[in-house]
Amino acid sequence: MLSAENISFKIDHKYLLHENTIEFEAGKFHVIMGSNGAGKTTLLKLLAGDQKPSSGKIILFEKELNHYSKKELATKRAVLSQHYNISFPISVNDIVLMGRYPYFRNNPGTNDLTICKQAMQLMDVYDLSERDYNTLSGGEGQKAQMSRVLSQIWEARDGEEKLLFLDEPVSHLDIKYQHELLTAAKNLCNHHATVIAILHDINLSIAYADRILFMKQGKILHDTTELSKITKEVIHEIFDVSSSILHPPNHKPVVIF
Amino acid sequence: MAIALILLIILSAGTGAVHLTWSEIFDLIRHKAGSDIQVNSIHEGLFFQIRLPRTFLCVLVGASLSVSGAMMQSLFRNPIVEPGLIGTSAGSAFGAAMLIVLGQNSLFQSFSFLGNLLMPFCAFIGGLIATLLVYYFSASLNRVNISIMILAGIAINAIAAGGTGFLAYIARDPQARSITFWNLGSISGAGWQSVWIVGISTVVGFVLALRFAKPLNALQLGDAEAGYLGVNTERLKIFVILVNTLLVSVATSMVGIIAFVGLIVPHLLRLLKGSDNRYLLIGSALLGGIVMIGTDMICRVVIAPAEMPIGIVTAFIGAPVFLWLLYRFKNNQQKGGFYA
Repeated sequence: MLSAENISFKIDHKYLLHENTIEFEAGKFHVIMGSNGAGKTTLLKLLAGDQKPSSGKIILFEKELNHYSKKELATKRAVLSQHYNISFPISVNDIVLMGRYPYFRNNPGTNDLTICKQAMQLMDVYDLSERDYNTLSGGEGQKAQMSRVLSQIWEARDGEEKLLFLDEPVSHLDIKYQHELLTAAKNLCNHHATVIAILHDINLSIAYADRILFMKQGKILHDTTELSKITKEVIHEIFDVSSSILHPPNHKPVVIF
Repeated sequence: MAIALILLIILSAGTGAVHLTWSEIFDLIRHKAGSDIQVNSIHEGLFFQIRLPRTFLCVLVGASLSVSGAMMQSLFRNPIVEPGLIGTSAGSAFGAAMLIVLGQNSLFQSFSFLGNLLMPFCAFIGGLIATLLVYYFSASLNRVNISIMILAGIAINAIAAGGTGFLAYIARDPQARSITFWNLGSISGAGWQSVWIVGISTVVGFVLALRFAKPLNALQLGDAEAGYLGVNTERLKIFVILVNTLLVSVATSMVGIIAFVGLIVPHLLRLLKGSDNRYLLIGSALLGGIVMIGTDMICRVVIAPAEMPIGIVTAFIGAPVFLWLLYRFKNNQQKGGFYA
């Protein structure tokens, strides 16, 4: 579905990403982890088509990523970023409606409006729809943005797959909001989407991921679907901290530092 | 708002050193339309050759500047941008001044096939260069650096003003007077020809601007985010700057520099109806016309029978409103949003 072959990205002569080859699996929740500057966000920007790799190629649905127009891509994948800075008063409704921009010309159809409403209800922000986005709390704002992102890839006709990219979406949120947001992503995963997320919290990652890719210095060093077999050696190699890993019965492993 | 605009157009056409009543205006219009009502022929000339074109020019210029202000604010993602601040107006005036003083030069002569459009054309080139310079100084990787933008705006404004001043200095007297007119802004020279020229640029610019409404909304999320929603941001920016320059420079070439209208009109609308460009741009065109007519009526009335250049009035009203906006900005920054 989405794969990267030998992609590198460099600015001047410094490699931010160095020859990574990855095959993403349809319907899976992928988490990319690594310390600051490991190249996670760069990788995500390349995969989402915001920037082009210096070398190597990315294939989406059997077609090279840079052969898609921006408009075409907008109907296939959505991206949620960590933080949004909006200078003008704008209602939550207007923000969420932007998720449907790729689908209508001048005025939204009833289908678009229904989808926005459903997305807001799912994220529990429908009551806030008339509010000015700038007056929301961080968590509410991020849920509104998630509604927008969800409405962008809400529909999937006959077996069509969509992609959801999350770039550190929960780093500054309360635990409650973190779980609400990731649960929504996980549910979409079970439905018609593949998720590729950057997360910072290893335990949150283990809780939601089907597969974790660990990055260091522009390369993917470990790539595992067997999350119960993550060792403290791997954690040390990637994050440079000592830890222990607990294996509570009937629970996913827990990393303590 | 459209109704208010129409009423103001009629009211404005009646106001001035010679007062025309509403019924007289209707008589004049009916007379023109072929009815055999007796009318005062001096008033008829006054109405159709002076008042009416002046009023229409006001509406068009107000709409041009306000739509441009609204677009620029969205493009720069900043509420204090307006055409005067980032050099578009000053650049246009400089372009026009070049033509006035150096018009006999072969470079300008080679463009003489443009005829009456030569002046707006020169203003357009001047405005475009100034705007692009400010934009490229202030645009870094994924956001516009506002402090650099304002400083670059000051620098470009200073260069353009210096250039215009120099041209005024070396110019022969009648030329110098028309340059001063540019720097103060005035509607009084309005004739039907200027109405047509500005009318075309306003309509073309406005129709194109409406096409940018959705992408400009998406741009509020950020450059990359707009891209993820399918917007070709680089192309959008170039088109928006071009359309802006068209609107502002053509208006400026006819009436000179008129400050603050482009800043305040979109702000009033944002306070009332939020910032969806699909409404903001239409509203700005209407309210821009209303505000300009109102200002122009003040110009004609305060020191009647003489009249004040409109640029002076917009500066006296606009600058305090601008300061008030800054004050709100300062107070509300911590609360999360500009309008919080």
